[in-house]
Amino acid sequence: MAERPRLLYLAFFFPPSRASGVFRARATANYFAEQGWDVTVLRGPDRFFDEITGARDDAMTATVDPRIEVAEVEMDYFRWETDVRRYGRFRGNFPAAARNWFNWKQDHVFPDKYQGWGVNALREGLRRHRRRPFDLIVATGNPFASFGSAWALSKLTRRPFVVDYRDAWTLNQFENADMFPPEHPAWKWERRILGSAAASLHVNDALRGWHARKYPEAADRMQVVLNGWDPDVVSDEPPAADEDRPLSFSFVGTLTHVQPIGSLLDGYRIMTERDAHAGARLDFYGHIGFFANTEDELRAQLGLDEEIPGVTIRGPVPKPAIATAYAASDVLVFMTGGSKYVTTGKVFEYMATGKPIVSVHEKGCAAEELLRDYPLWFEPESLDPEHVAAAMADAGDAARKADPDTAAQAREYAQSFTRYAALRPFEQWSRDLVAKRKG
Amino acid sequence: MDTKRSAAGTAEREAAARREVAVVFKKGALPRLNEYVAEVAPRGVEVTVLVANGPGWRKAEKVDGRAQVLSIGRRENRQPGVWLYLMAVERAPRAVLKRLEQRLPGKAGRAAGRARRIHRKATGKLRTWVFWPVYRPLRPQALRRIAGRRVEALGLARADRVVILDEGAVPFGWMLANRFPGLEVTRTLDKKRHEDLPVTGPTEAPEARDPYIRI
Repeated sequence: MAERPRLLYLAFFFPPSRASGVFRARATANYFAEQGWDVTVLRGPDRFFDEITGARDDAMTATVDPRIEVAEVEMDYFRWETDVRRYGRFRGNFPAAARNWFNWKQDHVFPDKYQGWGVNALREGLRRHRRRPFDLIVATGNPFASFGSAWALSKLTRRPFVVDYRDAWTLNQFENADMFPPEHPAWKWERRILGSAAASLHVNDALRGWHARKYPEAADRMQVVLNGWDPDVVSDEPPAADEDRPLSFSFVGTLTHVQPIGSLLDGYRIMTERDAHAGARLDFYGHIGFFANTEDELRAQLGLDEEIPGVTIRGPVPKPAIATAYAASDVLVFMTGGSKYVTTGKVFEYMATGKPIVSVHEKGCAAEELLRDYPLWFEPESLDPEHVAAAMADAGDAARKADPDTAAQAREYAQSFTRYAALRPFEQWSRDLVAKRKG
Repeated sequence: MDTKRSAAGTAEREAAARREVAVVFKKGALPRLNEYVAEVAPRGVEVTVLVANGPGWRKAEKVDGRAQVLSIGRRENRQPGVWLYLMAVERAPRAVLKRLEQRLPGKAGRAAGRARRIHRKATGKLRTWVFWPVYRPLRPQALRRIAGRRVEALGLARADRVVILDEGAVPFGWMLANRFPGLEVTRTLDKKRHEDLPVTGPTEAPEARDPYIRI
């Protein structure tokens, strides 16, 4: 029997973390394992998920393929530590010198506050490679310290590495502007990493194009691996139509300050005031913000700290149970900060349900490319609440009509966007790369 | 000593209202502290603040009057190095030149006045470019020693936690954390911690107490 190719996967946010990027990482590891790879994942420490982000979901761990070896890699908590007792002797006695040392490392070693994790991941990766060599290294960012570790591991082990950009590093995707000033070391590192990576993966073509323009020398090694939906968490069974119940418009996902929630709330209010869909509800499923300690502040910022008639914050739903939220919804609200660089993974899940989707985001969002061919997509002319209300009413009509043929078409269209479908070409490419190297 | 402190402390803590000790060695942290005191004091939380209002605190914001403020500023100013610098470079020449300006008649008096003004400007520059670059890195350790000898005055047995507001106070906080294993020493001012308490006290801040209690 031929030896299974070995993959080292550097993914800080990996189950039990429930951060938004976990699903792509989990699908990558699971898919490679299913395709016969021997996968080792180096992830962030539990303490970070428990105490710093407060974003942990143990149910997620059970969805990781048991053949995958997952190792927790420790990190230094310099930027996050608030318990003085946990400071080391050096920081406890010389806090300014410790800060200067940390900043120096940011400027001269690697510009990422997760650098400590990256160094430990490098060490752990090397240790495991010495025991049993890997064939390919894949790193997913953020945090981008994983890219630095993959680069160093590749240099030290002479194995190819791939960087997977879940988010852009040096581009502010929401403002279409550079994230760092020109002299910032992140630029130097990104050029260095892309210059020697076997491939870089991007979540949409707009982002691939931006990187290709910035780093033309690496453009021919850039690939698009779309996000997708997870068949184990979203049911693609036809929804049962219930003519009598009031319509439920649902947003499923994490609320952040970049989403145009004001337009949505006003649009919903206008729609219900006009009796377009009497008794229609607006439900929010999911967390408010990515960090538990900023939830109250963000809730107030978004205007959700007071009761709004018909609007319900239903709170987080564990990913494995997300199908129940979709089942309870008639129309899905796709709301994002929007930009030509932002797709979001949620749009794939939404399409998989075969339910009407109403968009609430600026024009030109990357997700529009995907939604354009979805037969139950309703796009307002603008973010003006009047337009949003009209689009919501139309989507509500479509949900009431519940045409089975259109819904079937919608689901069929979504079938081409599963996570695994998106990963298939990359896995094949990786297999070929490893085979070529082994001769 | 620690066991005794912890046993007595638990009983007292249960009976008494919530009490926190805040440590501020840099004046830049005062607005954040005052905002916190304004939030928690009306809910009955007792806040004791330890300040090191030595050199550089002349234009500092006053601490909210609802907090009890203990000061080690005078002790800081009396450290041999600091005292010698302030006396030799600032106070003594200033006093001499001021007297000369007042007592000498005519041209000599005016020259003394000019010299006093030049001296004032020069001491400002010296403070910025000589005194602080030398003293700043030493200050946290110096204050740790001074404050460490006066820990009893903070009444830590009755404190729920100690909040270290600025980096300069970290060595003192770290020393407390090591000396009192049961004591919470944190860098976070957490308003949410007291949100369960009803607002019972006045929300208007009384006039700030100054001078602070010297320890």
